[in-house]
Amino acid sequence: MNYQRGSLARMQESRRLVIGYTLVSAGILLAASGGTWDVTNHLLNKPETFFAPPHAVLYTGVASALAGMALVVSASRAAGQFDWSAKFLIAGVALLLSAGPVDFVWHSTFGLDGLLSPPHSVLVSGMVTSSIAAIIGLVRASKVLPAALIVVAILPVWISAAGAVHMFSLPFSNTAYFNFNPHPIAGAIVATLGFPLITAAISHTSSELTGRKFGILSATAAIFLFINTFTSIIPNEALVSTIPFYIATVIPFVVADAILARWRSPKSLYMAGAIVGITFFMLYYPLITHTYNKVMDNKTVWGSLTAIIYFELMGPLYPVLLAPAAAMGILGAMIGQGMVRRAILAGLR
Amino acid sequence: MAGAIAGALAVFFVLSVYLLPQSYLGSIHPTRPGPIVTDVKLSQTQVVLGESFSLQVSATNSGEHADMQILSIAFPSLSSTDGIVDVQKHDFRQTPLFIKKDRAIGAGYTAQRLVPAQYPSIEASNRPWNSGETFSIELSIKPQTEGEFVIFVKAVGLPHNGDQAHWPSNGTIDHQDEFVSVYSVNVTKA
Repeated sequence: MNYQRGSLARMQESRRLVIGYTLVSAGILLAASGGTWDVTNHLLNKPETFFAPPHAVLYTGVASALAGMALVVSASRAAGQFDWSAKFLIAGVALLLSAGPVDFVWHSTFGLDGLLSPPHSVLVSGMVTSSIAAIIGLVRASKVLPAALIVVAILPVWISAAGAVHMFSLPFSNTAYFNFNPHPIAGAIVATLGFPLITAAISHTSSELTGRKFGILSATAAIFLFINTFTSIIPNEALVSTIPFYIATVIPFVVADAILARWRSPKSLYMAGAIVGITFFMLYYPLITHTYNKVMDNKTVWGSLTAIIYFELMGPLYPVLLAPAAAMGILGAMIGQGMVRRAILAGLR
Repeated sequence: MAGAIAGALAVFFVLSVYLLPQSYLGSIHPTRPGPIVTDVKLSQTQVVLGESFSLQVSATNSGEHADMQILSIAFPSLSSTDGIVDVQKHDFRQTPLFIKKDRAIGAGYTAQRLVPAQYPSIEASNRPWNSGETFSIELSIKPQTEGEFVIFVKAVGLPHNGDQAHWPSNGTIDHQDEFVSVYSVNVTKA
């Protein structure tokens, strides 16, 4: 009888942990998507208020992450066991929450801030930390992670990590007080190495978490493309006609997914990694235009000229990017596979 | 299976690296804004030193959508606008900016070439400025020295891709190597 009661209590705590971590993942997904939408609106100089739609999405996401963390803390207390993913989550949400006051102080002291600034760095670090903690917590708390939950948990890691790479590569950080813009060549190197690495690592993680079952990697990539279409392309009317080009980027992800599902050899892992890696130039359109334009032509990238400049850059630039992007994609795939194996092993222990 | 994978990849690369980019480059044309200053109203052409006068300027975009259009009003007889020029009212979406002397500003209708401002100005702009939209600004100006008080007015549409993208299309050249229309008020002793 006592044994049954104990087992039931453990199940309930485990369920609360799963709900808590899911709320965190969903919250960071909203916050990171709202952040990307906000960057696009800033680029287009759309009028901004505290309650602008992208801000509302971001705040809703932070509130959801906070609620999720509270649930994780309460379930961990009830279980009398704070595992390290819960501690990591508390650190991430604390960073997320502290970004608000830091941002207020920064704006009050220095006026407008650029993309790379101390408050934005705190915010993105909080998003990356919380979303990684949430996916690890989910893997540990749930014996079998449902496919939909894997997608919900992996996307915020992807979007926030991409936000971090954008932050250190885009030339959007020159303000009246500080010029935090990366050197154009440094920005291009960060983008060329960083984007393929995170894309392959994260997309492979989603595949490995389901035992390489076909569909999850493709679905995750499709939703990533869908979110980016809504947050970075549709707000700029001049880019709407290029949506078919952007959506076509799902093809290499479906191909990589099929390779991973069909063949289990290391070669298949490398091939899928390389394929995903070399699509980064399309996947991170249109923002990536600003990074490479700075190195190549240094034109003023007006909203209406973004697509033209991007497609003009593609011819001379893309062949040069292929080799490093493929290499970083392979490395990312190996990292993704390694991370999942370690997380599963840790969960089994 | 391997054939289908290779085929899908081939379709993707042909489509995304060659066919679609070529098609977009052939079909997407840069927008051609057409800024025009439609009205410049000086409350008086002669003022007594110590009195102020008002200047009202309206501009429109008679061309296609402009990602940004700037209406610039400059004061070549001044070294600072402090206490002399005030914005009374405007209906621009962005707050007009006071550009101080010596600040780096774009020249030749591009942001790539920068020059130091030789005199102060006010830039009123919209981002974007849609076709057919008209916006106005009214300034109050109180000259502090007698003589001719000169005012330069111009409008620039961005992206700047031809003579239609600036107003006026000829005349006096200013410190930015751009055409301006010149207005003046005679300031006399009290």
